[in-house]
Amino acid sequence: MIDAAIEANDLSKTFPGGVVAVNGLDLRVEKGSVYGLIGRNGAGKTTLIRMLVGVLRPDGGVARVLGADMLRSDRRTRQRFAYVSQTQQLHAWMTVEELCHYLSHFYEKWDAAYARDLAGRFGLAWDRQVGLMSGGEQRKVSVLLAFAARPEVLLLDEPAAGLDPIARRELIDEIIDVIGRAEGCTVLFSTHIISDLERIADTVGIMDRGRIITSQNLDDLKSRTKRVQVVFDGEGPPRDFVIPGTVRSKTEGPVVTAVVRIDDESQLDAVRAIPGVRVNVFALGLEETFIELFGPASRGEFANGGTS
Amino acid sequence: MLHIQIDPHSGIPVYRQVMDQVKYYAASGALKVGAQLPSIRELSKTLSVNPTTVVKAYTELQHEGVIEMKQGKGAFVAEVGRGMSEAERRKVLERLTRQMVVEAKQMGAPADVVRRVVEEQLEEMGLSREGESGGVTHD
Amino acid sequence: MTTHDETLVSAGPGGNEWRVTRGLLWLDWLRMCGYILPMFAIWLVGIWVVPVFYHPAWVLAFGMMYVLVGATAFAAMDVMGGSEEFTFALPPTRAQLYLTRLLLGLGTTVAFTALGVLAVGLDLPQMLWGLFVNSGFTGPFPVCDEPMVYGLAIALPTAAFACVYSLASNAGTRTTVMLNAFAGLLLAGAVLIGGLLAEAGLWDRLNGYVSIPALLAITPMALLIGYGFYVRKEGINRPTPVGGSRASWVWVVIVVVVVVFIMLLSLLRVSHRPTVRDEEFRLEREAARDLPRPATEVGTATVPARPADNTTNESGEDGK
Repeated sequence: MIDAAIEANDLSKTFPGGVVAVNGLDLRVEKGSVYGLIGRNGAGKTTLIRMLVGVLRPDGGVARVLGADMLRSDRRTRQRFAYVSQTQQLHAWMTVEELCHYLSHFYEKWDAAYARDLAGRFGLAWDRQVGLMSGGEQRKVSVLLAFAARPEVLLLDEPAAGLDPIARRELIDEIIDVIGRAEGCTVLFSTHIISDLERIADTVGIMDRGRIITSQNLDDLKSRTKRVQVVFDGEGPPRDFVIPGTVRSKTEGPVVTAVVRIDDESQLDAVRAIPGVRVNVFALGLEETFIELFGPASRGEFANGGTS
Repeated sequence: MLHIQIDPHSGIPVYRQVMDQVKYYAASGALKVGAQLPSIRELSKTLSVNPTTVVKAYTELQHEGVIEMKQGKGAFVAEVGRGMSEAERRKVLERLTRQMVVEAKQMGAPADVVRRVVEEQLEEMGLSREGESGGVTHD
Repeated sequence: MTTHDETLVSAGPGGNEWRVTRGLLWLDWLRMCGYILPMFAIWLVGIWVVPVFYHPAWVLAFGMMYVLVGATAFAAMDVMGGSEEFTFALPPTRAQLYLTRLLLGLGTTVAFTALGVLAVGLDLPQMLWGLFVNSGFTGPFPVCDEPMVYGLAIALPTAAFACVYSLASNAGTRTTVMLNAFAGLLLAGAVLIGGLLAEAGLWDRLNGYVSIPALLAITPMALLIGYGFYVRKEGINRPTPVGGSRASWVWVVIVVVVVVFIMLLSLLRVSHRPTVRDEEFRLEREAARDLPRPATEVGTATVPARPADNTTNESGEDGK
């Protein structure tokens, strides 16, 4: 069995005041994979990643990166991963150069040339104090530091938040470059902006209220989730009419619209065979899928949860 | 010149989009037999997508016989007809044709119109009659 | 390399931990040199160059002044700057962070106080100046013959540093840092007063036999306890209501009450025991009463003078 790069088992965390941020969560990210963690704000993504990194202590369960508990591991193990988060603040009085010098002591594979190269490509002034930079630039510095460490695992918590579209694309391109390298890298990328993921994620995990609801290959999710519209002649569908594989469905007069999970191409044949019906199948983008599953119409429920 | 464009937000997976476009170019002659495709790394950079997506596309294309990957050299457009068996090809064509026929039925288009459209497309794409195509089928 | 052991994974052979420590020290030095160097200058000038502060009590005062700001700064600069989450996600472990800062902070504290005390005690600046200048500039200075103060000049700042450092480093927000630092000072003060109190009770003299060891004992204790909490510390700034969390305030109130109680107690005890000074006054008065009147007739019988008490007057100036 391939070792998982990132693993969590029955992970839990409750904050003082009774807020349950993570609730018996299970997660598995294979080595070399790019795992997109999506979820609404407040779903617990940040708390999960903080526990993986060792910034927070789990109340229950286990969080492991490269097989080790990062809260308790030594420096040699911890230098194999790097972390970028929305909330972290760098030492404002340090320049990019000083930060690079500082971190180079801790990471065995620190690549100083790459750091300089990235600074150039990201448009960052090498000798400017970080505190004087804009929010977006500071984020880019964080990303630079994480990438220059040449880690085996990258844990990115909303790294693109607050970046303009060009900076976003630069970040994505850089991740693609990093993945493409021979030694490979496992990336966990959490975001609530789904379009960021669609270029790079191979696996997508949807997180809601402290748990991972479903974890699937992105291509599978796209190919197998469709919006199916069945238009009946006359008044409407027969009672108890259900499209096989329906996740959610809505009937308005003669039209039945449903989000359907297609496991088999012939799944809809029976429906198509009904005399007088017209069947339209629409492909759903990831964002639409997410909204269908978690949007206002579905508040409080998730029917037919997906498989891992 | 191979110009592939993908829409990552589409409901169609990126690898499928790449495949479809490569197949189209190969079929329409824009990509000649033996032409080299961009390397996986190059293409992933150009399209700004995960290299594994390109790998998946190329692997599927090879499986379907559209391209062949030569160790150490890259991916090349394969001779027509290679890789897929008669039965496999039939299956794919049946599926696609059924979709079209179902649509036609719903539209209320008569069979003749459908046939005419199919003929026109066949001619436009340059598919010759059975047995006279450029490549020999290998099973 | 995968480990399935959840407990602390030890650094394998070849791990370059000295490089890591150097990196951490580099940063801490950069951050704190703006404080350490001026302090060093004051120390240098005050004791060596212009030996105005030529008394161990001054060394003590300097040490406390240094610790007041320094210990908090060393312990909590990350919290104050908001960069704790960033720092905790870096490879160095919490243990490494805690210990390197301690090394620099406590090390400088002990160095300043110990060297200062040595200088003053062995009269080194005078000797040094004597090499260059033999002027009256450095005249004889009053020698301090309270050995206790020498010891205290090292022990108290050290203990204070330890208490403040271990408490402040475990604080999660800016407000809590201040509260914890204050509590640390009170703790060190309480130990000192408790020690002095014990001395007054046991020997009727403040001789440092209890207070100095007590301070030296609380140093590693506080640091160890602080360490234990720190390695489990969570690295996010939890929002606290203005004025600190309720728990912190309770803590502070308790410590203040305890300290005040100890002080009251010490006052009470002291007031009930007759001091040696009181004795002296009494004997002096008696002696004055018994002194012979100036003789008016010559040759009359002399009144034998009262035998002088050996313990009075000559040595009555300093100490009790």
